[in-house]
Amino acid sequence: MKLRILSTIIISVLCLLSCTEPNVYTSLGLYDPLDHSRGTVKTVSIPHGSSFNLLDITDDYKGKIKINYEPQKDYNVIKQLTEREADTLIQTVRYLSQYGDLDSYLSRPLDALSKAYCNDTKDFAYEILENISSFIRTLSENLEAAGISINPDSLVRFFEDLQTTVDNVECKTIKDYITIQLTINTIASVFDVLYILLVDTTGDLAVDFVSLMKNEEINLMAGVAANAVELTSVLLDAISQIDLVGSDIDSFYDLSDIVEGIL
Amino acid sequence: MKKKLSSLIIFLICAMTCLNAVSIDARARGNAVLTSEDVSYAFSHNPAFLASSDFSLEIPLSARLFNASGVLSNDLVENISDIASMDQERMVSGILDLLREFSGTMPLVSIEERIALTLFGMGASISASERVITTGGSVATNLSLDLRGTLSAGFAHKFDFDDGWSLAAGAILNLDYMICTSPAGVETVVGILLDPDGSGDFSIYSGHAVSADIGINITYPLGFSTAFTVRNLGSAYHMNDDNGNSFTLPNPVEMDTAAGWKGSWSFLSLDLEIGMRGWNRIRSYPDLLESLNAGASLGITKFIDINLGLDGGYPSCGITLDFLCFEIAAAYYWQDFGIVYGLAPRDVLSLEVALSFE
Repeated sequence: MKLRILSTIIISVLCLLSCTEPNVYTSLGLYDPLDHSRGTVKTVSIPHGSSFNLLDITDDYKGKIKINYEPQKDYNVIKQLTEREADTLIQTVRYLSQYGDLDSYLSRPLDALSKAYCNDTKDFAYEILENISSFIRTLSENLEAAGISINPDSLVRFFEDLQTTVDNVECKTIKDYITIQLTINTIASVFDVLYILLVDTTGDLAVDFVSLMKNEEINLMAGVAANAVELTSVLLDAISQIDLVGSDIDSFYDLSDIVEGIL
Repeated sequence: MKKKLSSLIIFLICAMTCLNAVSIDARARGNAVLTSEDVSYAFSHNPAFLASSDFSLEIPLSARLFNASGVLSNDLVENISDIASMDQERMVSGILDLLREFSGTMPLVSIEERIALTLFGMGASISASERVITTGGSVATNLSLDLRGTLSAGFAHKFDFDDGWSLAAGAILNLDYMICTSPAGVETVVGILLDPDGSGDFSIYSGHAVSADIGINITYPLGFSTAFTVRNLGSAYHMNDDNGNSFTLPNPVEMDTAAGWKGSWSFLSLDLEIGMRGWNRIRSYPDLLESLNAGASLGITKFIDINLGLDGGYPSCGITLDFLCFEIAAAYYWQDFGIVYGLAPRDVLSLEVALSFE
């Protein structure tokens, strides 16, 4: 009896150790979290002539700085992920990279309509990035007026790198789709970082913080930016909780029946 | 500047390695301790165990490091001895890399303290926990602090019948108080730590909840037993922010049940249990899998317990050393933080040091 119980425990431990994943059910094929992690894909319609504020990205925006952007044509943009959707995507990609076949997943082809929306989003992202220098200058001037100095060059360089990333997207596979999705979110994230660092804090604190960093705020920003680029490239970047296109855009429509299961 | 950042890192590392644990050995057993009849689990798992001992006094201190393998392989942690000579960019990059390991809302580190006294079926406990919670993943990673305190008091009675049958029933009333901050960007957190006088832009929320736990444990002949508990009966958290706005946070009722068996031979003892946690919230197949748990504890003399468990499909293991009034428990287990069950397993390293008189 004693020997039987002990041997059962030992065998159980060996079984656990032989599992390829920490979750025993998943390892034994009884359950696959990927079957339950697929979200729905939505787009946002941005008509030509509408205007939104690139910094209007959080609910508690204090209105010190404003950068309006008017798209040059009509766009149907893949909607920016909510925090929960973003976390699900990141966790899914991370899970696949650790326990599944991420390459196979990312190389799955997009259907025709998804390609069209991906291309439209790519055009939209490219347009913003082409005009980003003027945004950064406006931002810099506004910050200067608020008594906070930044060197816009490193930010401009960061967005130029992002533009190269967008250039390389062909909108053929899920990897392209997610890259474009994350590009939109990364743009917002960088503005979010600026917001957190220079606006969300009080002016005095921001100045103190910058001085504590030995006036090397650009190095700090470069570190953050480099990190963001790296994360985007491996599709593990976090996405900010903010909605880049704001609440001015109201014409949502659900593509879940067309590209169900893409995420 | 580097010195201050180094101090911050070292503080975090100390917080992580000053490991603590409330019911660490329970985690090592997959939380399968509902039938254990151990007074240590009276306030955390089954109030009926208040009747398990005429007298007990426990003062445990525990700490948990979440996503342990990811954190311990981080550049900053691996090269902690060289941290003073690191350049600023590497430090920032290291911090962001560390936070990126979390990807979602999950704790980074938690510390818990408790003092619990039981006397002839009556018991009282004061516990506190402090957690640093991450939200998001890299540039958008936010951190928040979560402080909780619980004051508990309860009573249990055990009815002994013939032929080895017994029934123990107990109830505990809990008063919980919670203070938490709104999530703040990493840069804001670092800035405020560097400049304690800066108020930053944190919002602080606080609130309380009054709830009750009840539990029953029935023992049968030949070492078999069953248990049933209901926890968090009562109210939700009534919260207020620093602007005076009120809202509520759910404090869902959880019903657990389990069946167990105990045996002992010479200097060996074995405690087995299988159960369902939160079975009242099962709505789907994944919920069912997440609810199932099982655990085993092998006692070698009275001084060493080897614990194994499976909680929601995730394995756990640990060891408890008991010497006079000192108890040290270590556990390594997996816990899921996925938005979808199974999607974000993270390993947790935990340690508990306790003074225990019984």
